[in-house]
Amino acid sequence: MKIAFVLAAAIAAVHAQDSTQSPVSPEQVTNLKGQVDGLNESFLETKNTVDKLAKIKVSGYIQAQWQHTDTNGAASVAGGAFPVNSDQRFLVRRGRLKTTYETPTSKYVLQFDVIPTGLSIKDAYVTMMEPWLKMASFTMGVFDRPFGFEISYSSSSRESPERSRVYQTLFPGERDMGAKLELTPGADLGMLQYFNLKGGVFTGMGPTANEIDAEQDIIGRAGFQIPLYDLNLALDGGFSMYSGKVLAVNDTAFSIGDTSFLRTIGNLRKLFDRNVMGIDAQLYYDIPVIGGMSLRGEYLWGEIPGVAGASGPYAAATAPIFDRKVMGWYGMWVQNFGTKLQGILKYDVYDPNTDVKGANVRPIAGPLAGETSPGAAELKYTTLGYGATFYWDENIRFTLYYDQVMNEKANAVAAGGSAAFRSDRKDNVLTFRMQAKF
Amino acid sequence: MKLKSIIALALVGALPLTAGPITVKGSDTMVILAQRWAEAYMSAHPDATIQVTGGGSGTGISALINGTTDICNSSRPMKAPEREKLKQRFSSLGVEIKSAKDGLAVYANEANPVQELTLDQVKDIYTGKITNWKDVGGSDTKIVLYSRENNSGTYVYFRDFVLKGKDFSASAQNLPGTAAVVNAVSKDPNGIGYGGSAYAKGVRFIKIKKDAGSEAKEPNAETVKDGSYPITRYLFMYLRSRPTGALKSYIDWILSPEGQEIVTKVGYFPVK
Repeated sequence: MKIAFVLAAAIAAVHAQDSTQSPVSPEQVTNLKGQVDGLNESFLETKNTVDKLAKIKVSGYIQAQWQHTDTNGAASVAGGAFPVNSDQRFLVRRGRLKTTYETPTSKYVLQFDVIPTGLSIKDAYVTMMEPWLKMASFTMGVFDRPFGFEISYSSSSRESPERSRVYQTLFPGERDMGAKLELTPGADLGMLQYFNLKGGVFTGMGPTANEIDAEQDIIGRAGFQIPLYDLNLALDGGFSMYSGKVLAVNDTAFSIGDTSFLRTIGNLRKLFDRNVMGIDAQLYYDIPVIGGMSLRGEYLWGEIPGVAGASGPYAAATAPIFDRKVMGWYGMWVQNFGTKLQGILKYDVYDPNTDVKGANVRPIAGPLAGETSPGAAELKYTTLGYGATFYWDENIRFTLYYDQVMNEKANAVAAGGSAAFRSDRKDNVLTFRMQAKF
Repeated sequence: MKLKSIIALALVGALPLTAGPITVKGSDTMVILAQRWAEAYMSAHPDATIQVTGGGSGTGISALINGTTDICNSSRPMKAPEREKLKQRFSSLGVEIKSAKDGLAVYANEANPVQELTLDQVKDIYTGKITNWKDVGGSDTKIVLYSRENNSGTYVYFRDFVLKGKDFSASAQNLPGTAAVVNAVSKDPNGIGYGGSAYAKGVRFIKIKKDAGSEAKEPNAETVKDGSYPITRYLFMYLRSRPTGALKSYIDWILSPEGQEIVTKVGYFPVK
């Protein structure tokens, strides 16, 4: 339409000029008007196309880092185990590309992780929003499990380089396949606006594995967000629940006795509980002159069927189930200094088996039939992390962060793979990361 | 000890302790007002430097979240997702300051015989339900809709409050600022537009009625102050944190009688 105005102004100018010389003929005016109408139609068509294209958004981020640890080949949750013959590495930790198509009542999301080791899908889901109260949405596909706070807090926003150990172990990949309903009341619903609820049904197999049984896992979180604008203070939090079942595909299963794992048989096709509860809380406060600070924490506990030597969720096709009670928590403080600098302090605890103490990680004397000694996978980890982030501009930031990792010590006579855990392993990690986000 | 000194120096260096320029970005509705404020303040305080740009309320809010502006001008309240992004990035909810009031005017060409419309009629016109002026008491001609781009706070406020969240008609032409809308309507006898009341030069206000039984009002100091004009809104300034130092001095001056007098001169209405 801007073109139409220029032409209309031109017509007027020509008319004004010609009025002093010779009048503009009606045919000329009709001809020009026709051209203007044609341009207008063409503009409207182009505008329609542009409006559709404007609904597509492409975003992403790249996290490239250099890391140093204490010993060659150290195991680490800060990006995986180090190379066998090296105590340092360069790593493209994440390379995300996300496309979103959004209309007033729906959203379609595809997100990939593209790193040197390969390409994987992170998100693939459709969300439908109801158009009446605009408070309910329904999502299906592969997306973040609706549990806790740290799962859905984007890695591009998160101040520490990695999520806490409890989340990395119990919810690998953060995502699962399923469907969820989410309720987020708006400001027009009075007090309800401070509460939110999300929950759904999932395969329990993670983002890419296919379902192996007929059991679905139920995951949900009831949350609140209370903004106190006059104080520039916000209190957020929630209670989460994970309730599922795991189908045993091996006749043998192990559960912890007094000091060792005891074998049972007759478990083929038996269902084992997989239940986790969590509470989370976040406080945000703007300290005058200095900047905003946040205190965040979560506490998780539950029962997780796993496998020998690994405390993560059960996903093996044939291995016996090892049933464990788990616990994990973290506390984190982030302090902004102006707009460019941020300090971070995080304390993170994960106990993969609350029934096993380090002293029990040792060979059993005179084992009973089927008795198995606990191994290093049952040891508790404590991590103290601290660092700082510098925001170069709105797209680029640099983070320097140190993870001081302490493991529970195994018994002095621990043998085999557990022997290395008689003392604290040398596996602290220094990370220097550059993130570019668009 | 050396390491502690280095860290302390780095932290001090990161704090905005020195008086650099104050950047103001955002609402095109407020850009002239913001410029007048800046000129008057810098004239009285030669050591102050204030840089004002427009771009729309959405642009200003994004700049606030990205840390590239000190003050965001906005002709609409910040939305909850925007507050959430600010909270994620800076652990702050932001500070909202009402700086002026505005009657969001509906403009018609001076040759247009239609004098008043109800809010529902304005909604039906802009959603494409009413397309001919004769349906609202005017001549038998097609209504030409002029609107703003979607990063404009005026656009968002008009859509949320007048259109009740419905989409604009596809035939609405999106223009980059209120001045452009006014210019378009002033040249188009069949045009209708909306924007801040301060911009109405060369066009006529259409009086607005809350409903068919109410009295039609046009935006002026009295109707905006007593709320009888149906489309009254606040014009906001948003900051990341509670202001201190030079920024606080400037904000305090804007809210003072001197700063509010400029609001009236520009054509808006004082916040109190």
